[in-house]
Amino acid sequence: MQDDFSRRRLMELAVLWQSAAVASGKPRAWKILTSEEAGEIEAIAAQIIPSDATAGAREAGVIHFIDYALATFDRHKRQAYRDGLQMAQTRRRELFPDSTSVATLSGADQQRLLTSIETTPFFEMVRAHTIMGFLGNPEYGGNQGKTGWKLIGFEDGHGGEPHR
Amino acid sequence: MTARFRPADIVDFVVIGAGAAGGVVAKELSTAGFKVVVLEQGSYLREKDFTHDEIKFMLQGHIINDWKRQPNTFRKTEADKAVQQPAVLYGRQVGGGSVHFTANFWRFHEVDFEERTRWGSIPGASLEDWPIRYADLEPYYTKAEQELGVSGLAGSSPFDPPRSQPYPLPPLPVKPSGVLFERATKKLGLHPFPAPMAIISKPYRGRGACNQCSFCKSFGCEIRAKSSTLATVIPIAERTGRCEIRADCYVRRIETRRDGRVTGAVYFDRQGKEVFQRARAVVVCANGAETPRLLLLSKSNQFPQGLANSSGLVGRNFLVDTGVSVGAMFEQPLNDHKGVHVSRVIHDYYDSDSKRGFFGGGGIDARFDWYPITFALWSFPRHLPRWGAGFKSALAEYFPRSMSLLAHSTCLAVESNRIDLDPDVKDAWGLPALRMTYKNHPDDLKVLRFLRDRCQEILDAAGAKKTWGGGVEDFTFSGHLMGTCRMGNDPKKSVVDRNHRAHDVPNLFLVDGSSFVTSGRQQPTCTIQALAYRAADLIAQAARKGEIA
Repeated sequence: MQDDFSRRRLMELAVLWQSAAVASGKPRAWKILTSEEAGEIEAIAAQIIPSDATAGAREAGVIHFIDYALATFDRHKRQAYRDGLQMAQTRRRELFPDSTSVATLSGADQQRLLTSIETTPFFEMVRAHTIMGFLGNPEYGGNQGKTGWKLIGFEDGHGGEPHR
Repeated sequence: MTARFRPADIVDFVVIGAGAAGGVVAKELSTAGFKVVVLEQGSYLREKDFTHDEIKFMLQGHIINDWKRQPNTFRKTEADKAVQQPAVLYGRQVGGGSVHFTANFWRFHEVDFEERTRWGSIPGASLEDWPIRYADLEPYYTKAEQELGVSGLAGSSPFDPPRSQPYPLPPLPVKPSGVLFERATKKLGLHPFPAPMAIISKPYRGRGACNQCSFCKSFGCEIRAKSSTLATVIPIAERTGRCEIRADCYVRRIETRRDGRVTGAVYFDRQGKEVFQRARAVVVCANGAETPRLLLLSKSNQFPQGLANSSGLVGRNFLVDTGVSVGAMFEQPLNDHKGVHVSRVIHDYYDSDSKRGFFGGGGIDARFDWYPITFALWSFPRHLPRWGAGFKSALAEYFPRSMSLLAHSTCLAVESNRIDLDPDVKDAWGLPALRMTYKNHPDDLKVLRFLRDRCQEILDAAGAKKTWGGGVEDFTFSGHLMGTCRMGNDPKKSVVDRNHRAHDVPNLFLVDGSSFVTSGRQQPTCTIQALAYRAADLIAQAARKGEIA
């Protein structure tokens, strides 16, 4: 019992330490995305799961998940992201000729833009990645501080231990 | 102590597939004193590999067949050209589907073995009795429950078939979905009972009890509480020193010699090199889809239609996992994601009833078998927003408050429904891809709609705030693979005899879902494993009499 308790305590400390590192805003290098692309995709993800009374895709670090996915198991989707972003930018310029980026649009305009592309394969791909990054295991870079799991009340205990 | 044989060694048995059936056969034959090599196409994973990673196990299919390297093709009828799409799903590592299954472990009922006698012939279906009866299998159901470790409560269902012994372990804890289901079904005059599960509720034979971690379906159990063959019988087989589990071996053909007997199996090893393992007899436990495919891949001068296929029935009468799910959301949180997926079942609608006007019946269980990502991506109610603030709040509301009822039902055998070889598409090893031709018998869909309506009644009685799902259409995909090498007494109307021996080949045995004559009401693993215990017993007897060498 003593052993179990101290092991659990250690895990808790490890988790606290990890969240502290994230909260300190230590900049991360992008693996695949340019910082401009990351900003644009993050703006889309933040409309799919917005931040309101509770944390959303942005706080969960979904964009880090997407960058990781494109660097690893979804590397074959890189081109689809680049082409899709281009399509979204074209659409943005049609709807809002004076705008300069998705990220700098107002929230309402971002929603108008996404509504106009919500049946495209690109939107579906970003939506799926956003959900995966929000609700997947934190070791993929998203769901930081278990943001997504806290929202839906999900708890995981692997082998009886809390998730790292 | 694990045996290592050389391919040139003539072992007693090559077993193809280390899954639910193959694991049992390997254990039974090796403990009976025979030398066994088990060829498994997947890897030898251990408990440390079974993480709770939904992306890896659910989305990337880490422990199932790989449709990129092993493409399937599908068509509805023989007149159509098949198109490439996933059609069959099975476990692909040592332990096979018994590693990732939900672990529902129902026995078939007596009626399942004699429905042709009971109901007569059904137009458009090849409904037949099994050549064995429930009583023939009962001792082996008991053996499977005792050896593997099954939790349940004997006598709790008035519809249960007779049993010679109670379950070795008490039922697992009831879940919120089970409580709501039990209350509602009792209100409707039905008979809920604790779900029989191949998950141990107490420590058993050196394994620890389930800790209700929630990761059953599609995941391996990291604490060995799920009674997979990997956690139970395979270690016993290896300890005999007479059984080698050879993983990462993709069998491409079974060899035959001029007298029509089989001599072993040729497989591609990890490096893609062809290896011939010699044996006195071959037991194919490759599942209801890959077993017929392998027989068709093994055609030779003596067997131009494919091995053991003089009847032309290899691959035919394919049976799929017909089922329908109705989701429900309640006012209060259920947090039903916690724990083993299923805790209560009814069998009130199990039997056919001529008053309904169609053949078939089924069971209904209460469950929550979703995980966060796949709930949001695949199981999210269609009437809700798909993104934005409305999506987020619905996600937070629905995940902790949802459950579902799953009805699983009869699937009638139809001769034109089949597994065979695609004429054009090849797998990564250059072998013809598995082609599925399938269209449900109309009664399959009628029974599903009937059960869907019963699910709705139960959820209404339970006080569900919202329900969704329940769509019924022709099946194009299956994870329960049955019926393709049916057993029977007449060599013209079946592929194996009542002892699982191929009618055409005296030293070839087929032991898995392919032997099924009817589908039962799904949940086939218990019956696959009972058949495997019985078959291994009969094969060992035949070998001792010198009948197979």
